[in-house]
Amino acid sequence: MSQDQQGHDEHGHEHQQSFISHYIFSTDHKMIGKQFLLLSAIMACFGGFMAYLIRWEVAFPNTPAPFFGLVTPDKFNAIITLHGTIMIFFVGMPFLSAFPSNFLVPLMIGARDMAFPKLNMASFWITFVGAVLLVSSIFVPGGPVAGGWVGYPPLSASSEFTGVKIGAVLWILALACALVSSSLGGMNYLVTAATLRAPGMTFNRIPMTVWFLLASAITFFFSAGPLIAGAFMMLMDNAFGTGFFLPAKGGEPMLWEHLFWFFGHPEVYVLFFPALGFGLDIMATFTRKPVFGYKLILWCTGSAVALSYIVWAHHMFMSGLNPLLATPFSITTILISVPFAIIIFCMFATLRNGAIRLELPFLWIIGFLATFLIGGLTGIFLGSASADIYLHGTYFVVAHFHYTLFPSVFFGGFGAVYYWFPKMYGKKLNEKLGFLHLALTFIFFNGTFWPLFKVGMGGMIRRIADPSFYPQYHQFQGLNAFATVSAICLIATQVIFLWNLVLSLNHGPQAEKNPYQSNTLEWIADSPPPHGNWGPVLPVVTSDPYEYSKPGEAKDWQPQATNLPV
Amino acid sequence: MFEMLGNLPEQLSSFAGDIDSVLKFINLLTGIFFVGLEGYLIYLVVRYRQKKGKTAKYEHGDKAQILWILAFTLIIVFLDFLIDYKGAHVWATVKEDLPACDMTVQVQAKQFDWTFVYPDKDGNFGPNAISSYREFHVPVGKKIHVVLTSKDVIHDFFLPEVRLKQDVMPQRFINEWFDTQKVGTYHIVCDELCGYGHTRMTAVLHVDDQQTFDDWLASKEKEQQGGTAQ
Repeated sequence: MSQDQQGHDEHGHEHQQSFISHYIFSTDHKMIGKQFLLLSAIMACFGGFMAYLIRWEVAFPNTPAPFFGLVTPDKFNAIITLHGTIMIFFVGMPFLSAFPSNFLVPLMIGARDMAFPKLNMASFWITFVGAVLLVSSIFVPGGPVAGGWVGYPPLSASSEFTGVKIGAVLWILALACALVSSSLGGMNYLVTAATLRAPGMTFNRIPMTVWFLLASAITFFFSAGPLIAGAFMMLMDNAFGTGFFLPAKGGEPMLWEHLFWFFGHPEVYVLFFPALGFGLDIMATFTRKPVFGYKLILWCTGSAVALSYIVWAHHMFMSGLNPLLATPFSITTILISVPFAIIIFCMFATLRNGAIRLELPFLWIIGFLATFLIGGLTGIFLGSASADIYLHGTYFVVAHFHYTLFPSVFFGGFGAVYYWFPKMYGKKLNEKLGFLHLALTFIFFNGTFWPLFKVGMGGMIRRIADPSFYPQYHQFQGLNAFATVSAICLIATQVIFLWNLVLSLNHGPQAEKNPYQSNTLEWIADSPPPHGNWGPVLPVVTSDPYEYSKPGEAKDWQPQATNLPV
Repeated sequence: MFEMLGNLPEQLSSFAGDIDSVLKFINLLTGIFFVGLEGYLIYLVVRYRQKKGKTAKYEHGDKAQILWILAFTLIIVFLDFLIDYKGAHVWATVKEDLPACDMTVQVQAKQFDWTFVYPDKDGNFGPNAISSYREFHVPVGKKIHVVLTSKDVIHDFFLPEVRLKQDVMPQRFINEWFDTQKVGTYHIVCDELCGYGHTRMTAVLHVDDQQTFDDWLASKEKEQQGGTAQ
């Protein structure tokens, strides 16, 4: 079945769209991608503001935070909970998975749109409803949920322990929206990639970005089911007084811990995979080299997906789990480092012998590698059960997972935004402002989280609203204040990007079709691509995605399809 | 990484040094890899930046190159297992094998307090058991068996100087042990978010010499009996 018979004939010619069908209830994958991008940016403002409040309270306890006021313990608990939930489900997921999957998957495989455009629209609006529910929970009586983003019961399962009822129900519903939306979206990306590839786009010719977005969708798909069941039980406990997780009613809190981390650990890879995919595509373009070990990387990704489901209990070494289980889960944790180590080395090997153009998207990806490496290495401390006896629940953990998630979401995600921006909007971003954005983000990110390794190694525990109550932590006030000032600067730095966005969209130079002489199909489409992406004729793929610097060729690149003008 | 371990609190228990040596070992290995890999990354980006008249090498990864990567990965796996091998006996000592202990104390957690319950003269935790609120006294040098339980939500019993940590689960009784090597007062904190008052859910660990401990326990008992007699 060719895709022109799939209801896309109407896209072959120009047709007028109303404002609402174009910008709001759009079924165009590119517009939906941009909607996800905008939503994640708005939610990042909320999440970032909460990060500021957390850091303020930790460094300067019991002093009113500017633009907010005193962060009392009840507010602190709510803020850390919302910060985690927002950043993972309403910033990380839309920014790294939904936005690029929607915008890039059809373009990179040579399709005209997603397989199920209406489902796609639904997936955005469900996320939107979830975001509204979560933000509105701030204003309901009893306040927002305050049981930690991991939502451990009994604390999170009954208002008896926190006094929060409506907020907790809204939180679970928001979580449910995020999970449903990502499931619908993931199904759509998978079906699209399976059925709507352009002629000649064999599996071996699919760009890495697409492969890794699919790996991310699959990883999410098979880990979310148990958590959806868990969230349903949690909702029943909170709203209707059942006792699935309440020991006093015969329930079992550890069941939630298992369900949560069975999802929670793979989720880290759900956010890491897309960044790897962008990284490999961007590297190939700017090193002017084929990706090193294309097939090896795919095998590694497959095994990492499989292994991601059997490592979760390393989050639960201190939970009262049978201590004999530490050994098997330590071993699986070691094993999952193998495919990732190989992928990272393949990235290094791609750099080697390259002719590297030090352009902005590439440098974001180097920033991603440089910082993620620290996240990976510090994970070795926490993967060791015996070291975890001391480090679990300290700021060391906070620093570690921010060194894994922030590089993926920020450095990887912004690498993608800078790289594909000309394709998205037909305009170029200002380079100087981009370099400044990158340099300051890199400095202040490290300034925020590096000190927290030291603070955590000193034994300071996370999630306490008032460190001034602990004389043993007074020695870390300097480091904490340094981290807080860095965090504020990090947040302020993002204004540079917003300024660049406004400036470039309004006054930026027109972008060419293919500003980087890149091979993959999206660069054959116009910038920005029209509704339906390609003109009357689909691209016909005739070569691999990374045929750069092939000896004996006149130019150092080879577009994947040659039947359309580049 | 980089003098991070300087912040570690003092070592109070007999196994604190073992845990620290695992931390030091991991710190050394990851420190070497950190410097090596970041250095190599910078080297690659600088060394292979675009120069006039030079093109990139057209390579997809031949067998020899891939073998290099696999060999390097194998070294990492070996070191990972070495870390776990070194840590395994520490984990077994602290978490798996409960040694014969000199005394048993029940640690009861609730929002947002710690209560330490000592057995009566017959060794029972019946009505005559002695309760101490937020003050955990132990005799120095003795092996203490603690039974952790919570009355409401999940808490976490963290003694940083002892290097002991364990979640305290509602309606479960979790057995842990530790010993002490030096008289003094040390910290007890709750390391699991447990609600509004979590931030102040602390207690004090008093490590006394045997005489002081006995006196304290006797006075505590007297106080309690006096309280019930009235």
